[in-house]
Amino acid sequence: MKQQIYKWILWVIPLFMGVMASAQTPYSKTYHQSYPAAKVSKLLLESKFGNATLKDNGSNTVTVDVRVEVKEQNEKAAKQILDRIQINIELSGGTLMVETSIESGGMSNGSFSIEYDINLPKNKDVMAECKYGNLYIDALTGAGMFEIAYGNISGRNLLTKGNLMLELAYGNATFDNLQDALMEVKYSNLAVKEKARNLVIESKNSTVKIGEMQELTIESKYDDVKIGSLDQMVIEMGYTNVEIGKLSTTFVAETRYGNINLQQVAANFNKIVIEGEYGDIRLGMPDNANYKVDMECDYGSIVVPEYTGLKIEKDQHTTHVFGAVGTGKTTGALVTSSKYVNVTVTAP
Amino acid sequence: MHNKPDYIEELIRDNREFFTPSTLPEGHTKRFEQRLKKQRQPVLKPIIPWLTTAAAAIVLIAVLLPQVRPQKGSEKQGVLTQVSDQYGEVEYYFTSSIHKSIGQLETLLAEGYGTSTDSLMIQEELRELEERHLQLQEDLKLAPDDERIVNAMIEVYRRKMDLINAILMELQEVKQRKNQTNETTNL
Repeated sequence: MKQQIYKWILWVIPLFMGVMASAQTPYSKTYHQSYPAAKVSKLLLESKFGNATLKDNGSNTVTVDVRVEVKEQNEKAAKQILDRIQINIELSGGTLMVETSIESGGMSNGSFSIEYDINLPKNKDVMAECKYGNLYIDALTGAGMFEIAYGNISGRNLLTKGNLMLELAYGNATFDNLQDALMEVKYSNLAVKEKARNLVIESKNSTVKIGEMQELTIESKYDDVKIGSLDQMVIEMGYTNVEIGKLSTTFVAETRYGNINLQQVAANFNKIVIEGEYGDIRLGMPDNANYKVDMECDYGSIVVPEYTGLKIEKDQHTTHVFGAVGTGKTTGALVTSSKYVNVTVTAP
Repeated sequence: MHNKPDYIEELIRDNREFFTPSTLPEGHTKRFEQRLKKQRQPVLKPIIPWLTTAAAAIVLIAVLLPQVRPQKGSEKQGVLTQVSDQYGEVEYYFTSSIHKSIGQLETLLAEGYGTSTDSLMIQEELRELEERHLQLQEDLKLAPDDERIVNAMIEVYRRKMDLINAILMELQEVKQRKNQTNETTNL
């Protein structure tokens, strides 16, 4: 009996393995083009259902390699799918176009993938539109314009000179360093792990996490914004929570239904101005700084440490806290105006 | 602060078409600059609170609800049902949960929590999400059953539900805060 079972296993396993192998066998086609780098000034990439990688390997040749792969057991069906997918690569007047064209109809569940590998000097301009896939850019100093939906964009150093734009929806954007960018982020996660400089962001229903931020202007709705250290920031926010680890200079906010937490404000800060309705505000103010205070709150509360010696006036609905903190010449200002907000000032 | 990055204004001006009209309103940067300059200015003042609240409730009920309420008899007839029954169930779960939350949101607005601005904001968000869904349906025709598109559709549902629930939570907190304030005032 045992021998029969072993025989059966010996027959069945190779058969099963064979079926598995044929199921995994991809049908594919590849594209390759190369051009002298001097002839290419801009890359225009339109990617769908694929992963694109842009790297600068230091050579003076721009290369485009695309591999389309179909995981389909039936050869005829696989070839039909392959025929429906076309990659058009064309250099015209300095613009290198890499476009994906997919004919509609009849493709089965997740049965194909497209990989784009592009070698391009980092000082070239890039315009990329990617949907249902990912884009990785190692480095960029030329202009960049990216439209990413239902996919991710990531990169190491995107250090353009004031000409980077990103439109991101339903995806993740992760960079090491980023500067001079104008961004629209919706239903997504944006992260800059190290340093960011001069960003203008409009975000909705997203998370924004930045390690070290120099200058940020942001219009934010339904977001979570977390910044490790910040120099200057102006924010218009609704239903958003903001947490700043260290603030050096300036923070200006208009908030509704959101919370603000400035954990540690530097002694030489310049200005904190907040107008708010509904929510909580926590300010970790320095105890060795000299600054003016003017805080007013309707239907809420203001709590300040005793050492500040600030004057507190209260009537039925309103609390007014004002005066100067420190004995030296005042260099900073803390101004808040709020309604249904609890403002808590703490020592660091 | 914004004397230095003049290029950002230039960028916005030169590339306005890159963004949809609603993304960066005209004078966006200048408004921020002005805010830096001014020391204090009163926050938004609802002139007639009950009127704005009533308007908010009416706008929300009239405009939003038909977009998200599952239709009787066709509750399981969503787009994803055509892909598989399992996805159909997921779709039904989201549409019914969204419907339930919208109901609670309506109640809060009718009770006077939130403003017409809030309901317009919600309306705008849901309209945008609806457009996304229509676009995804078009993409699904391109590659029927493609998991990447199906997942994107589910993600749009999930985000829609998260959004409504987040607003709901905020308004519930507003209700709590206002009630506490009233209790304190009465004492």
